[in-house]
Amino acid sequence: MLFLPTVSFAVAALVPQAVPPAAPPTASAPIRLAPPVRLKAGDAFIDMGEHVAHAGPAFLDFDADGVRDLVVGNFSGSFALFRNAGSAREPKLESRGFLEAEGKEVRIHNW
Amino acid sequence: MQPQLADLTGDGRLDLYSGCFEGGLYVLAGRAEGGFAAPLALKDKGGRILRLGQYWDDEKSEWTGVADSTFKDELGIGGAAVDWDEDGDLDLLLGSNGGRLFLRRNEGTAAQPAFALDSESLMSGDGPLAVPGAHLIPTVVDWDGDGKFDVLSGGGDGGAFWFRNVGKKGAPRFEQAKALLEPKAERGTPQAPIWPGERTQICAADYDGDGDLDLLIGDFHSMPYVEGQKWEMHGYVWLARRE
Repeated sequence: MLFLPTVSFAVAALVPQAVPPAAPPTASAPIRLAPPVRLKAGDAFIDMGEHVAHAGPAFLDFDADGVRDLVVGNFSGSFALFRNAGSAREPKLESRGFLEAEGKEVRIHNW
Repeated sequence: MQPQLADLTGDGRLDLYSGCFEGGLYVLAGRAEGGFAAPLALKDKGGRILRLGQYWDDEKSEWTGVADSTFKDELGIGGAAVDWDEDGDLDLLLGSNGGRLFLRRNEGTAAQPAFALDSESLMSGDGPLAVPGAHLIPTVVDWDGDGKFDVLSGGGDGGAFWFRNVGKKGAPRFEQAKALLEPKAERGTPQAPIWPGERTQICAADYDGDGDLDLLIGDFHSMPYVEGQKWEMHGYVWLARRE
């Protein structure tokens, strides 16, 4: 398991808002989604199976490099980090261990 | 657990927060120097841990209902912050394991949040807002670009659902859940799935930078449980691009 204590969310640089940016107006056009595909980090599928599964994703810029990264919660109560080493157009995710706070891996008491 | 960002501590910085399966909502306060403080359970204006109804009591080692909650039997498993009534502060939408959606109002201000002591059930017509298959973990986003926030959630049987806001700013009103992605019983094996599994959790974001919102879907797949053997389970993240 990889731990990178230098990973820090640049939250101070972000504008506080709860609702993400809106989609462009769709008028009356129906919203269509392509069939879902599983995301990978490197060559491996992202999988919270070793952490009691129940993946809960969020897409946000945790290293303040201008592109969004992936954070995934799980049933163990931790948050897995996947840095986007690609671009906003073509994300390339790399596993970066788990979120730490105050020098310790975050572990929320999840029953 | 699904992480989300909002300023729930009122200091002008974004905090990371997440519901969980023991009934509380945890906040990692954003720090001025970057990063987060250790998680703390969010409290209501009375200083009690904010819970919808049921919670896991560690001391008693049993499920317990909040004494004066209107919804003692509802276990809150997810929360999403949004300014429900356009009064300038963040209120909370709470989702339950039973699949219903609730509101906990902020009776304070943006700088000094004070969450109400009890929740309100959110309705559509005569029925409560609910997702098929239960397991509602809400996220807020303007999915249809009409200038009003909508609510998305996964569901116990999988899929992704949209509660469309057909009300007005400051007075939201929602249609019942509409499937954006249908749950499917045939989804391959847990090791090589072809479709998202159960207990889905949803994030709407522009994943590919093309200017529209896509869906990220977290899930749960498992092999049948066999006593005495390690229970094999998986939790993948899927991308459904908006076409």
